[in-house]
Amino acid sequence: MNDIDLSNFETEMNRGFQQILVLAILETRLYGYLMVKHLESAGYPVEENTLYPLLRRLEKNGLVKSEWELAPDRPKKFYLITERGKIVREKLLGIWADQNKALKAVLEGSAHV
Amino acid sequence: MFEKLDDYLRSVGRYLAVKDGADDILAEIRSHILERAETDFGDAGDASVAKVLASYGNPRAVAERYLEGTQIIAPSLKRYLLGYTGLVFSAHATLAFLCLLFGTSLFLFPVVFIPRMSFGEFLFSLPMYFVYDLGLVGLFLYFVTQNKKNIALPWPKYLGGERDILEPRRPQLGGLVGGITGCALILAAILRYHTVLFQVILPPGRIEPLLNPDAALFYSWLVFACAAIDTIALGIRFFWNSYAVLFAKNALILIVWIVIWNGAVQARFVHLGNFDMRWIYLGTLAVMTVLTAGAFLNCLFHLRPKVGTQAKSGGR
Repeated sequence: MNDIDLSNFETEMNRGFQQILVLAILETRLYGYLMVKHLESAGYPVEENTLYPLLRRLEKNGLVKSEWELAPDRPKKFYLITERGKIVREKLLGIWADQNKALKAVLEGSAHV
Repeated sequence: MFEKLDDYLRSVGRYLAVKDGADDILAEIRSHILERAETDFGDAGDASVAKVLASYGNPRAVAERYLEGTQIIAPSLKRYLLGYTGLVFSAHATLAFLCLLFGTSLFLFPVVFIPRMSFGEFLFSLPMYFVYDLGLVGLFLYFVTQNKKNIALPWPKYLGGERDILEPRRPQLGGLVGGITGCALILAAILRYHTVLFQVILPPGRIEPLLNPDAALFYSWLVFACAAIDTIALGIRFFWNSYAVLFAKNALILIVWIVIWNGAVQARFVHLGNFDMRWIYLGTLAVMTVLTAGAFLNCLFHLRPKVGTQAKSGGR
């Protein structure tokens, strides 16, 4: 049983979760590298190759906004959640809570069967 | 300044087929890699950048992450790619065959050009027609995919579907008896007259052959081969009724028609008065070849595994 490769399942599960996570972390204005570090320290490492395309999709949907800032060393692209993003985040959190509730009920139910 | 980084970003850019914002994406990746090199290795130099690049992923994979959700041809149209290509190819091959038959060329601007050609050239053209038709259908489906509107493409019933008829119609005993009788009659005619290709039977039991004796005998055996293949396949289908059997049968018969068209043995047509039998003979042969080719393609479309064809109900 230990040789089961969960990577595909994990990728599928992470897809939605990472959207909520990024929308949550962008309450503060951050650029990509800082986001990677923040998430890493929060115990959820995210690959850059996953994060940047996700940010781009969120921006395309108007959930986050970005702007380049000419920092002293090199230019950095900062992201911040939009009002629309906040509404979507709340709704997604609601869906997530419902899913957790349903899963808990199913698991507890199956334990009594 | 950072040669390896520039090369890497150029490679990513080549795969980055986005409508706009490619430069923005590359600038962000550059900024990230330089910052990571500096933070993780103390400075943003060639050596540290190379180390970061090694773990960042190959350029194609990096670019593909930005292209997720974009499709060249929608997966739901995959069946149409094969089905439509089969239809277009059948029409294309039939037109080419008719051109061959009538010794002419055909130009339907801008999609079809069939030059006047020999039978050998016709055969060699078929794979090229297939590749061309596949490309043409692919291009059409690409535009359908890019057009986000829900376009309902027609799907002819005979191309099959989710509830395919996975077996051909059940063979009939009468058909088998007819096939065996036909084979026996052809064999008897060959043994008696040394040909089945005759124009008229003259009393008492004389025939007017269609071809010179060598060719008549050779082609008569080929006709017998076709009938025998057909009857044997019918017999096999009583035990294993599958499109694979029909596919093999039609492939073998198609080979026989190709041998006949190639004129392996030189045939001379015998004239009956002022009437030239040649065109009736060629016409019959053409119709039979087209019908066999059609049946062959039909079987080709039906050759698929029995499992996994039921539509699965979707979840939330």
